[in-house]
Amino acid sequence: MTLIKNITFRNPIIYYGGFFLLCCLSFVYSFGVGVSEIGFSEVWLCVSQQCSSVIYETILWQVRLPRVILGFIAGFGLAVAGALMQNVTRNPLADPYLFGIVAGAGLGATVASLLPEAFHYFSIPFAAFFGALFAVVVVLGVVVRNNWRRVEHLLLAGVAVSFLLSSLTNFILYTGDAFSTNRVIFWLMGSLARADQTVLWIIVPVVLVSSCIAILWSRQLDALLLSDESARTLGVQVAKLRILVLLLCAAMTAVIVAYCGGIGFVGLMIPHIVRALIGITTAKLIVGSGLVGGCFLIWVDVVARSALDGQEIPIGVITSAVGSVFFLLLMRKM
Amino acid sequence: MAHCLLKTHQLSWRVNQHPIIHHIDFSIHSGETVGIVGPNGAGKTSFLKCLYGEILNFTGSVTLKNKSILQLKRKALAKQIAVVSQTHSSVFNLTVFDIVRMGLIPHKNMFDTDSQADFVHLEKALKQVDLFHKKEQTFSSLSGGEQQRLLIARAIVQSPELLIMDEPTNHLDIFYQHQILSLAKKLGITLLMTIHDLNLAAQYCDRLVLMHEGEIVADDTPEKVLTPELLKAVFKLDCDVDLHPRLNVPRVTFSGDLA
Repeated sequence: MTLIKNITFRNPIIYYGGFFLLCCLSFVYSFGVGVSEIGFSEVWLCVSQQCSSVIYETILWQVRLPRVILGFIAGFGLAVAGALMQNVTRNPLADPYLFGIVAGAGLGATVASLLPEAFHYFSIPFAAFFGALFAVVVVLGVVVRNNWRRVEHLLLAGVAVSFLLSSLTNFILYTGDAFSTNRVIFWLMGSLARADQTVLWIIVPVVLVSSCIAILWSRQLDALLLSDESARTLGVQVAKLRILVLLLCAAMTAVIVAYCGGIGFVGLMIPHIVRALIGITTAKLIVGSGLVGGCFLIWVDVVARSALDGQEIPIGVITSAVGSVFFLLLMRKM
Repeated sequence: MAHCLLKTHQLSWRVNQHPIIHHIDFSIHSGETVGIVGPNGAGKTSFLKCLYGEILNFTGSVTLKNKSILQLKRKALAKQIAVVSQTHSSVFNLTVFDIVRMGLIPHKNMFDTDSQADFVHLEKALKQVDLFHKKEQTFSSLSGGEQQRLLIARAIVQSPELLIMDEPTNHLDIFYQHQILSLAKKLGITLLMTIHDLNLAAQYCDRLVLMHEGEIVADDTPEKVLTPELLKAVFKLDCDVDLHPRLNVPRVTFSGDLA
C-alpha cells in the first residue's frame, strides 16, 4: 500500500536538513568575522581548546559566541512570531511589530534614557520590555473589548497604538538633550552588540518555549487558516487560541526588542520565503521560519560587522533595506 | 422510529430587536435526510448556525441527544456535527491534503501525532470524493464542485453523526449539483441541508422544512410540503406541481407570473 504520507509533499526533511547545515556553516563562518579578523585555523584551535592567545580566546568565547547565538535566536524568534501572526490573522502583511511593540519599546527606552547614565545597562532593556508589553496590552484590550468582531481590528488597533506611542517618543526626544536622543536613536536601529550570557539566559528560553507551545497547538492553528467559523466547527476555541498565540508573539518580540532594538522586516519576509519552499501549515512553517530567520540574522550581523572598516552598521538598517527590496519584488507576484 | 438526534424548542434569534428566526420547534432523527427550503432572507442559514454552535445568543433551546449544545464543549460538538458551509476563501494556499487532515482535529489531543491508521482514513475519504489524485493541489485551484467535495471529505474524516450543509449546490452546474447530493446521501450520515432548488430537494430529501420570515410554515414529506398553495404563499409566484414521471417525486414548475 502506498501511504499518502510518503508521496504527499515536497519532503520538508530535506529542506530542514539544508537549513540546519546552513545554520552550522553560518555559525562557524561568523565566528571569524569582526573588527579583529581571526582565521578559521585559529577558530578551530580555540574550539579544540588550544587557543594560541588569551585575547583570541576572550574575543571568541566572551564576545563572538554570545553575539552569534543572540543573532540566531533573535532571527529565529522574530521569524516565528511573524509566521504565527500571519497565520493567526490570515493576513500576509502581519508582522510581530504590528502591535506597536517597537514603538512601545522605543518609548520605554526613551523614558529610561532620561535616568542617570549609571543605570542604563539595566534600565533601558527593562523599560523597553515594559513599554512593549504596555503596547500589547493596549492593543489586545481594545480588540477584546470589541469582541473580536473582525480580525482586521487587531491590525488597525496595532497601527494606531504604534503611531500614538511613536509621537510620544518623538516629543520626549525633541525636548530632551541631544546626547540621550542620540543613544535612543541608535538603539532603535537595532544591534546585537549588547549580547552577553545574561541576555541569552533570558531570550533563549522565552523564544524556544513559546515556539514549542505554538507547535503543540499547530493542528488547531491550521484550522484557522480557512476561516474562523470553519475552525469553530472543528472544535477549536478560536478567540482563546488567538489570544494565546498573540501573547506568545508578544513575549518573544518584547524580549528580543528589549535587548536588540528594532530589527524590522525579518518577521514579515522570512515566513513568505518559507511558505514558498516548504508549505504553509503551522508546524512546518514555525520550524522552517525559525531556522531561516536565525540564519538570515547571523549573516546580516556578519555584514554589519564587516562592511565598513572598523565601524558597525546597525542591523535594523540592513534588515529593513533587504526587507523592503524583497517586499517590492513580492508585490509583483501578488 | 430511530432516536431523536437534534431538537429545538421555541428557538428564536434576534439582531437588534429584529427577529431573524422565531419560535422554531424542530427535530431530526438519525438516518434522516432533511432539506430546509424557503426564499432568501427566510432565516435558513441563521437557523443552521444556531444548530452547530456558531450563533449562541439565541433564546429557547437546542439539544443534541437530550443535552443542551450550550453545555457541550466545542470539541465534543465537533465530534458529533460536521459542517460544510458556503464557500471559503483562503489567502494562504492550503493543499487538498492540509484541508482533509483538518477533519482529525476534534479527535486529537495536543501531543497526538497522525497514526498510520489516520493516513489510511484520510486516503479513503479522498478516494470516496474522487480527489485523491489531486491531493497536492491547492484549494484555490479546485473548481467549485471539487471544493465542496473536499469539504465533504473533511467531514467524512471528522466522522460525525450529523452532517449540516449550507447551500451545498450553490454556484454548481447541474452535473455537480447531483454529484454532491448523491455523494452526501451515500455517506449514510444523518443529513440536514438548506437548498434552493425545490426539485433537487424533492428528489434527495426524505423530509422538507419550508421556512418563511423566520418561521417554519410546513414540515413534512416533499409531497405534502411542495403544494401550489404553500409555495405561492411563500415564494409569491404561481406554480404547477406534478409528479416526476420516472422518479415519482413532486416536480415544481414556476410560471413566472408574479402573484
